[in-house]
Amino acid sequence: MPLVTFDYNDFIDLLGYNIPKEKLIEKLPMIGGSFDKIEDEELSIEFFPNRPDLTSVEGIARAARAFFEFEVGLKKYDIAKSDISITVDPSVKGVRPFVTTALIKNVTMTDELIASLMDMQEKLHFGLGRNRRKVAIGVHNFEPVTPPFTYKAVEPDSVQFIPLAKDEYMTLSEILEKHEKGVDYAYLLEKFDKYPLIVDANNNVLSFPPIINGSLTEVTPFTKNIFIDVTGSDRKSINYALNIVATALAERGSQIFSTTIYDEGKNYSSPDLNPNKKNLSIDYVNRILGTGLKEKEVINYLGKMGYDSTEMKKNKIEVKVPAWRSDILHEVDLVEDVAVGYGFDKFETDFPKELTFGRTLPQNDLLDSLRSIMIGLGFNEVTTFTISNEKDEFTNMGLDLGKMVEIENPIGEEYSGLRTNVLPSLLKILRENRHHPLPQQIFELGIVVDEHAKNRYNLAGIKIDAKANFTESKSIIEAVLRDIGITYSITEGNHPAFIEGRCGSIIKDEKEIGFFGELHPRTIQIFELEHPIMAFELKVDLLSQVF
Amino acid sequence: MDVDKTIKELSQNEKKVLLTLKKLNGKGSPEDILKNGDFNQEVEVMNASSWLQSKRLVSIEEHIKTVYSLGKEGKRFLEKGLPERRALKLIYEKKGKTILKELAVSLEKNEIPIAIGWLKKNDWVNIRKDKETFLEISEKGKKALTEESDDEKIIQLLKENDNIEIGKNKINSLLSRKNVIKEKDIITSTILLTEKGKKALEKGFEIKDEISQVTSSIIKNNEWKRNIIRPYDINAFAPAFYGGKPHPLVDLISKIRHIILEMGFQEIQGDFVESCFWNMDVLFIPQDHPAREMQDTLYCKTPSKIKIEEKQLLSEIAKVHENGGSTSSTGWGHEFSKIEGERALLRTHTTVNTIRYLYNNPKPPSKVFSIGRVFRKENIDATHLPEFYQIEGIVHEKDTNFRQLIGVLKEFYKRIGFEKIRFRPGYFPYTEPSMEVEVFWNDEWMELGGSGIFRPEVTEPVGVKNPVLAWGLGLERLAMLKFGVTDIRSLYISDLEWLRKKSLI
Repeated sequence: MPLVTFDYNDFIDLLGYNIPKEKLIEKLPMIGGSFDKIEDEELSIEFFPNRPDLTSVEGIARAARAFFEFEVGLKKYDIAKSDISITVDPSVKGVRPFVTTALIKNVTMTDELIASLMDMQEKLHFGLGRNRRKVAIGVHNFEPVTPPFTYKAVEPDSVQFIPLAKDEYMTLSEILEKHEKGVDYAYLLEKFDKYPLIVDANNNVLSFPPIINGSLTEVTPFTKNIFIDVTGSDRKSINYALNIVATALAERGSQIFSTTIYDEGKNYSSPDLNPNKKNLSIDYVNRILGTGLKEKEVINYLGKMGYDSTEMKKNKIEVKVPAWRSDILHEVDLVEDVAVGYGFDKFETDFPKELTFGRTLPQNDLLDSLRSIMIGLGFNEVTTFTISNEKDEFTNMGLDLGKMVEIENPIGEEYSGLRTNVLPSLLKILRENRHHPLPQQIFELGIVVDEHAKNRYNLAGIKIDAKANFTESKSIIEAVLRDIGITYSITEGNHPAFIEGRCGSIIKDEKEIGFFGELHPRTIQIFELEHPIMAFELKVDLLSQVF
Repeated sequence: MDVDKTIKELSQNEKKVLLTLKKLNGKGSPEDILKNGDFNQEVEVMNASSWLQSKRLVSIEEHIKTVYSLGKEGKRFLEKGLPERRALKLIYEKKGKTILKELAVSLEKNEIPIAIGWLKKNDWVNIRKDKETFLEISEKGKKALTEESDDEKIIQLLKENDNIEIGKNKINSLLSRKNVIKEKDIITSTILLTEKGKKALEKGFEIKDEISQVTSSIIKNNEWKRNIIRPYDINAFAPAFYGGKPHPLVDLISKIRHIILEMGFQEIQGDFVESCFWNMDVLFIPQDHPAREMQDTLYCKTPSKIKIEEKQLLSEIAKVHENGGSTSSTGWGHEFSKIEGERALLRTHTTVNTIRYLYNNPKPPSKVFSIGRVFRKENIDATHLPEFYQIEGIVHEKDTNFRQLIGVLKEFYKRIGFEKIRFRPGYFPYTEPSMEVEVFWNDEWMELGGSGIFRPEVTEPVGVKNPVLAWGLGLERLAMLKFGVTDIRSLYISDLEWLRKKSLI
């Protein structure tokens, strides 16, 4: 989750109102975040990834101003007109089709603002921008460049410029090969033979989206006027990103200027901060929340969440959704904000009304009985990972490689597939307990996954002891099967993990339902153990009709 | 402890040791006690003494002493005589004078220099060198012919008594000879009466027949009527006993399962291997959501693909993602990929069971729950595992609402042991409103679970027309709080000593 760190005093300056630190720490999470760290004046809060507008201290201050009822309702920003424009060249349509821009003047650059801008950009790139695939933001010093601008796609070696963090001209291919950011994000362009580029009237490069800006327009502590470009694959998302960044700057007292986008014969004025209008039914709100709120109350709670709303006809209101709220997909999203505005702690408890009966799964009841049987026989239950690997499942047990569910992106070789048997897991537990006194006897009722990728239950038990032997394994398995109460027969088994002639196979209805016996010293050594071991494994699914 | 009670709990052998020590003036070795008391074996004395020591009636002091016995050469000398003795005899037989070479008659070649050395050292001969070396018995030598030397006396002594102490100065000359004497250190004990022991003896007790271990014959023969059954010191050490027991995590699952059942919920479960479609798409998780990336979710190589049989649902879900379909949502606005939906993965949450249940049972009312393992691509460390349990429940009826969700949560958390809980706005892609649940534990608020009402984009396509309340929490986090465990790994890589000692209640 995005973590925003800010200074309490800077926050209060932005808020424009005073709120004691303790109250802020107590109440701010009720908008939907949680404080992670508090160190004197430095506060770190995490908001959820569905609220990119809260990834900056400026955005948090805006939300808090409404939530704490200093200024409720929709925050409005003036947009002054400018004749700056950018033309989208058809060449870029197949590569990175959309761009939007804004000009921000009279920026008072402070250390806090530079830090906040960089941090916000990074978080928007990651979340809303899906690692720059969907959205990439360029923030520029406006002074050195001359509008109008062009967004186009060019041959990788046809253009060269000095990218940020370098002091030499590089072609676009060189940037992808050598520049740190180029190397990180080259995969976003690997499918294309032309690369996106934003240039000014004199062909000066502003940026090579979504990779890097030119050093020509680098923002410094002395930058006064800022030009923002946002490019990406989704028009809605780039607009949200632009609105979030532009209004954050405006929160610091700068002036937003409109720009014009010429795109496929149409022109758009950007940024567009007109709110999205959404109808909300009061009945729907009350149905979801279990409340009896009136129109006015709903409007009031939405005001605390930064919306302006007006009563329409009876039972309906029109809600103006801020142009930086990307998370409002459905009426229900407004219902949540009504609940947040109302306060989660104020809801009166109620209970479901209709009668339903508790019911277990019969197979889980059977598992409970099996567990009691094993504990009664003096075995300690363990619980182990179901993620295992081919070597432990097959090779180490002397078996030919069999079918198992394999993981495409495992966390390591040892965790590369789902187990087919429980016994190897128990041997691994014994290996971890080598330093503890013997005898040790453990069991697990564990899930294994079969060749059809279906879950199955197996019961395995194991005992390591100076005197563990075949006879004991037979006594134990017979006790288990006696307690289960099934009829079965025992034939000679041939599991390669066991000593030849000391392994039995358990047959029920002509099917093998399990095996038992005395492990071969070879198996014992493979699992780094050095005492005799008796073991058994039963397929629980084949024991009873309940499966 | 008072002396009377101590006396009462004395065993026969303990009493005998005390009485024998009294005879020996309060001090004796185990052998002394064995000899002077009525014992059969030294081990009886030692066992009784260490029990007496634990009762502070005696103290046991240990000393190291050096004892000697005959070595290989020593035993040979015992049989054949010392080389110098044999040489002396030979010279005597040669009329008291002989040349060196003659010694070879009764001595081995390597013994000759040894014999000469000791003859000289003992002053038994005078040596004169001419063309040959002459040996002549001295006055001392004549005397020695009739009496044993000190060394010979010691050899004789060691022949009769093995492992005895001998003064260092006496045995030094034999020790200087190779392989004649074996030396070893042994630990000996001295048992001494303590003040408390003396007091017990002053009080006095007698040795009567009493019963220690009750046997079948004692019961049958009524011996228990004639003799006292000796009381034991109930504080004395008893060996630990460990039986079989449930694993604490499974035990906790079982308890929680019962709690949810009592609340009227029905149990469901499902497979580990699922399609992206059921695990993600149906739950309205956008296809480009960061959680779906390879670094967060474990995808399967075999099987790599799971066919989606529910054709109608598939096309509904595609529309919901693209533009909201019939749900009045805007959707995610990106093109839906069926291929992405068919990818096989290890389920990342049990919500996949829940939504499938709703799809198959769209009519209210129902309350279902599941407790099952889920998988994430996490490296194993003290707070992360790639697989762990999720507890999850839903309530589906015609008029459920947010207040009822709060009621269900309060009841559930109270039953699992958290009286004080609070709620904070939360976020999950498939619920709205969403809530985080915090519990008050060990004087602080801790996050322990999430909850919410399923989004219309989730419920409507599966045919459910009402709000569905849902909540879930991680079992391991709960277990760590309850068991006081700080390393999550210890729940799965079991230390048997921990399992044996962990309380279950």
